[in-house]
Amino acid sequence: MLRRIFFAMALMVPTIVFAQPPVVPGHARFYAQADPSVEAGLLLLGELNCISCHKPVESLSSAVSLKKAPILDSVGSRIRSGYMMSFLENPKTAKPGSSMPDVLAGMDAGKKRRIVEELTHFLAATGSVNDSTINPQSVNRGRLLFNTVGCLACHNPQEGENTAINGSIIFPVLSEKYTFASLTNFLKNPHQVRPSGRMPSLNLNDKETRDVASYLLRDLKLPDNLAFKYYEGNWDKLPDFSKLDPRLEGTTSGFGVEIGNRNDNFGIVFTGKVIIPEAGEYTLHLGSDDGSRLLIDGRQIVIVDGIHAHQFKNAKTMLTQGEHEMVVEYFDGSNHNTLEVLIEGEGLGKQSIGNLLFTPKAEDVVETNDFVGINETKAKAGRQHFVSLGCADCHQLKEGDSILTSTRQYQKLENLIGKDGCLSGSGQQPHYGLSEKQRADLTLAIKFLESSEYKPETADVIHRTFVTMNCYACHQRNKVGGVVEARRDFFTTPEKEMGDEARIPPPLGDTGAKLQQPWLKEVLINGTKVRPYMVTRMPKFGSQQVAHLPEMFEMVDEIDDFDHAKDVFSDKKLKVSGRRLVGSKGYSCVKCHVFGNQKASGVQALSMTTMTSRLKYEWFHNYVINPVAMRPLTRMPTAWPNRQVLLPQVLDGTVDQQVYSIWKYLEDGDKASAPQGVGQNSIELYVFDETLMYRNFIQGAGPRAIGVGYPERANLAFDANQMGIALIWHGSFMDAGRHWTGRGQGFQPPLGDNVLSLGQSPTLARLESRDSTWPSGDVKKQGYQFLGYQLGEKRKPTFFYKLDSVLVKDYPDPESDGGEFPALDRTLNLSSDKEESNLFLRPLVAGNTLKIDEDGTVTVDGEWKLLVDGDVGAVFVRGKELIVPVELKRLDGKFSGTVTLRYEW
Amino acid sequence: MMVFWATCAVMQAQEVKPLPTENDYYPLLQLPIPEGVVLEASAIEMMPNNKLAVASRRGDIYVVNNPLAETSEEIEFSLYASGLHEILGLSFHEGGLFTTQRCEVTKIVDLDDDDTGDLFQTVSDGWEINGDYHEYAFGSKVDSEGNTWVVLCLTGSFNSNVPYRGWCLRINENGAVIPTCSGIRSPGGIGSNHLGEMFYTDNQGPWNGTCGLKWLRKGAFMGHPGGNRWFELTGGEVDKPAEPDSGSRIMTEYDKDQTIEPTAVFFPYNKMGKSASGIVCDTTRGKFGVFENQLFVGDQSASTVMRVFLEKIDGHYQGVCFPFREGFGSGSLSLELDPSGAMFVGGTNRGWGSRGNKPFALERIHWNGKVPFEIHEMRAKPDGFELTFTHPVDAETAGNLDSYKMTTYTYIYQSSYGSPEVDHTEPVVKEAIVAEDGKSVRLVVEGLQRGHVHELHADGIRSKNALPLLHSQAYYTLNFIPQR
Repeated sequence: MLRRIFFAMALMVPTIVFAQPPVVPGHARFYAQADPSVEAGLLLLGELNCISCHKPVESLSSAVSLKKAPILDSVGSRIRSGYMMSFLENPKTAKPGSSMPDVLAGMDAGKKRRIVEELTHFLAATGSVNDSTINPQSVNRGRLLFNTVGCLACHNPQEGENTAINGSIIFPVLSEKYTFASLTNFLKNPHQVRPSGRMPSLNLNDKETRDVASYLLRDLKLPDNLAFKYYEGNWDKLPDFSKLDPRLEGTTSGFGVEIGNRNDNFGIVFTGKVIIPEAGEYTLHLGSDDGSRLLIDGRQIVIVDGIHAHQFKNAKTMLTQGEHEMVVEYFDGSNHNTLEVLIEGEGLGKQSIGNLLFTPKAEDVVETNDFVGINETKAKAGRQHFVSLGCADCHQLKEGDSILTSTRQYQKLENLIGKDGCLSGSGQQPHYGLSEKQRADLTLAIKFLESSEYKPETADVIHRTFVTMNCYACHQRNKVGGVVEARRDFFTTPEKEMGDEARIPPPLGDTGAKLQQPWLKEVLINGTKVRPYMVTRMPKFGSQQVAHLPEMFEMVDEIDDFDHAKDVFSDKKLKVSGRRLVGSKGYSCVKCHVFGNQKASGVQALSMTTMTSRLKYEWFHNYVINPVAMRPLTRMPTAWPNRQVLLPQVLDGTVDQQVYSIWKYLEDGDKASAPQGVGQNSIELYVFDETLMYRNFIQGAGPRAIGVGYPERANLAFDANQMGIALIWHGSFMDAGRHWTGRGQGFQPPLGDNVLSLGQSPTLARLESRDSTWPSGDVKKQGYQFLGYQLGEKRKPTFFYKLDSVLVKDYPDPESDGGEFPALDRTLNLSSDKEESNLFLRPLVAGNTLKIDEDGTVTVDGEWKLLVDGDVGAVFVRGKELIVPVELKRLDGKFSGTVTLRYEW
Repeated sequence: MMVFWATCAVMQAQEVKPLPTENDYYPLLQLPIPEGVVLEASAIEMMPNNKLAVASRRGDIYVVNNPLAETSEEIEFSLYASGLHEILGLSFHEGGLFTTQRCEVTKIVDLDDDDTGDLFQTVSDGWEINGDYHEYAFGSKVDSEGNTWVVLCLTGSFNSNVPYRGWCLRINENGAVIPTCSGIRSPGGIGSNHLGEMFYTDNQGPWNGTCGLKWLRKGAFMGHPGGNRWFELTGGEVDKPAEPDSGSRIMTEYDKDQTIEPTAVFFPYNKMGKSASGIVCDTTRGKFGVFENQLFVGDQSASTVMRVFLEKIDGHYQGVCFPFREGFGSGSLSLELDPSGAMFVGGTNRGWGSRGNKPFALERIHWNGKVPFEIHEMRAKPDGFELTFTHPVDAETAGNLDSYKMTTYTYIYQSSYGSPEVDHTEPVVKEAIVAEDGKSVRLVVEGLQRGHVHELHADGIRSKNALPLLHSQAYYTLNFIPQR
């Protein structure tokens, strides 16, 4: 439809067309209605690429940020020749609002036609396009993506009523311009062709890129590449189609199963030729509702027979390079009907096999206007035009390793005022179709550059970048910009309860004070998706465009400063408190904030585990105490309304220490133990007066772990594969939810605080010498044997295990009255029928450092302590291992010894 | 008009005489699990002191006092042990409760006789686990030689990632480990017959076209090659089978390699449940009814208990399964049959759904002295089958060939998941010879199929009292056709 209208207009106004002036979104939004200004003109000088031809003096070149024209290397493999021709003939008609000037404006029509044709032959000769069919299911997925991920911040909706929003970058008829493959490639990495980042990458994955491309090319009609036979019947598995008479026969494009206008009880056999690009092993995926099978060269490769919902199966097969006969049989019994045939391997990403089908060349040239066959003479002439007309001034085009250079001469920028040039809008000059306002702005800017130096403030540079890159389309900064009314509905969220905050990208007025530099760079240069509730994505602009912003933000953005002592409580105390505060028995942050990859129970707000790597502490502090002051629209409540403390027993009830404790806890990032209330189906095991045990898969203590929760609120996990205590921790014992819900797959970490790993290894070993390696791996093959345990007072276990002749009774018992962090006393009783030597204990393996003080106390990692006593020799350190020699004594014909260990952590 | 008459006829029949149901012979009682206790009853053992030990998937063991009381009010629960790892076997032996947990066989001893376990001795942990939920261990009652037979589920459906997944081990009371059979996939229960021969149930999946009851013949291969990588650990004690051909039939493979023990009884998928589980043998000498020495097998998915009659032909067990009792509250998993004739059935549907919709249950059925009209036994003969009945049959209906409908089929023995019924045939019942006492019928059948399930529907038979069979269908797995 669109195409026809412009075609008609072109007929009515043969030479200079009244068309939409070049669309520069930032100009349209901020300057079109304002008085002419230098800033507006400087913007246009860059965006319209004026300075690629008219070079400014060196000292002023920084005043203009240049938008480079599209790179035309191998353009023939990306753009259809038909489109090139109509675009060159009249850029404004083919692509309304294009910033490409009509370089041949004012020229005699016949001559123009000839030059355009020759240029097209030249450009088309740089490559060739390959068509493939559009999958209708992909179109539907692509529609959803296009309408929600952020495309509509700059482009118009393609369907519906609201299809012409001011300032939008307007598409040409994309199916006339691109093939499925070339548009997919462009969407995947737009900067490769358009290096200046105005079209950012939305970080679409391969499937998403194909889906969006399919949507944008949904009107593409291609020549048929499959023959089909359509049958009707009532089957519960694939029939022998060869014995049936088809109701319909014909050719089609792609595996659409809507051929017979029937939803149930039909079958189709598709046949076609697949062209395999490279010999090798391919995986073929067949998915259908209901049954189907795939044959290649008469051999069945995959079958998904029977009645079922959409279901995939796959198989690998070796294929030689070149043509293969492909047959796909399909039937549907009732309900939904779907069919997908995918291929991957040998460098091909998983994609529709339709992309590899042999497709006869388009006979119906009207659809794409592409011409077949390049005329060498014309191409040669076209190349001459390309360099002489100035195309090469703006567009890079590589031939081999060298880039074509322009031979056209231009006036210097400062000489242009009042001259009969592009600005005049007439004569035999590149014709931009500028608006009056654009012309006025440009005139002012050129004058300015002639007379002044350009020394902008930092804030102005940020503003210019925001206007140029159209950051303002999504973000507000210092009350400027933000999503315009006409586009607000395009920003969506699955968390409607969170209001606009969940769908409209955040304001950026305090960005420099809020975000840490490395994170900010990551966001700007690579784009991110950290907000699980926001459908729109932060795109990737590329470092050239935005690398200057992080430091500039930091220079100009400020928030209220504050001061509080940070060494009032130990880190251990802070982390325990912080974990309690964010949990369901504290301020319940976990109700709304995701924790790592574990969902929250309410809305899904930003993950807590990434906060300290993203945010600056000062901002975090101010924000959590008074969120609304900094984000007026936020639904985030404060835990400390008017600095009141609702949990006064934690950290003496001081606001600042409570906030700081949460920060300290979150600093452990992914390694932080999850707080209470995280994860669904939590089944906490509460320990009251008697000891509780939990034998299961415990993370850090192996599949044969024996968790022990003591009434004193110290806990441990004994590893019965390794014969040693692997973990000790304080506070809560275990959450059995993982293992007692569903089938119970996987390992569960302790629920409590201060989880300390002592190493997954035997506590006792027999070493040939003091430097012998400590046993590890499958130690049951090395003489170790687990014998069980006996329950005693308060049902506390004594573990029994053996190292060949030596029997160990290992009795852990937490310090009573040890307060919040009780020590763990561990008594090991060793006995043997024969005299023993070379026995050693390894009570722990340090994370970093080990130090033995003069009184024998061992300080581990500078943080916690171990005391050793009993029948032992001189304790020594080797690397991160603490080694305790054991000395057994003879008593009543037996040999025995007792060692006590106290862990204070 | 026709419709009207038909409706009337049905109504009249109902008014005249309602047909008996399972509940009229084997009533069911819910044991009163205390509020707040989650008892996913996964193993049950009647102890010498007449208290019932019931283990749960959560790792607790409860002691039930008065488990045989007539009403649930008299029955009490107390906690015996906790914190164990997914218990799937309990057996009281030599003063302790031999408990098969996921990680080991443990002997639990109550040292001070206060109904709580104090000493937890590891009898053996001679197999590995790696954190995969699928790696279950089902333990038998201790056998006459002091062995606990442990069948070890594979790591998932296909693989054996750590030693002895996919094997049956015998664990001696002193801890000695004897690798006994390979080829196990995903057991649901283990138990012996009246002669002490051990059987287990395996579930539909790779190399198991449908669920089945298999005889753990020492040294035999049970069909799934996933665990065959551990033969080298056995030191040559067990013969390594040939690698089976996927897409074959189990008897075809047996003919090539007699290491294979063919499935004694197939439980046809959907028709006889989808998830075979616990096994008990009726050795109550009549306290549980007239099915002495027959096996009872649970089905978790259908919340049922099935009945199995076995005979030994050519040195192998084979036989028939019948429906027995349905309507359990959750997915039947563990079975225990007490010498007094009370059958306890423990249920869970966590992770796998069941027709009984309770998350867990512990139920008791007992025989009330009335004998249902059932096919008592079905035996293979060279030219057909012999059926015996629990009551004399009406000679006219039992002698009428139209009273019998028989089809046969088997399953593909293959590496992919499960199998449809294949190779269907329709044998012809040529003669039905009723014995003089009316207690048996000799069926002469043309077209017996070796290796096939013979599905019999004897809907037309009536007892002398004009009752139809309580369950008229029977599924006989005819691996071997007897010579005489």
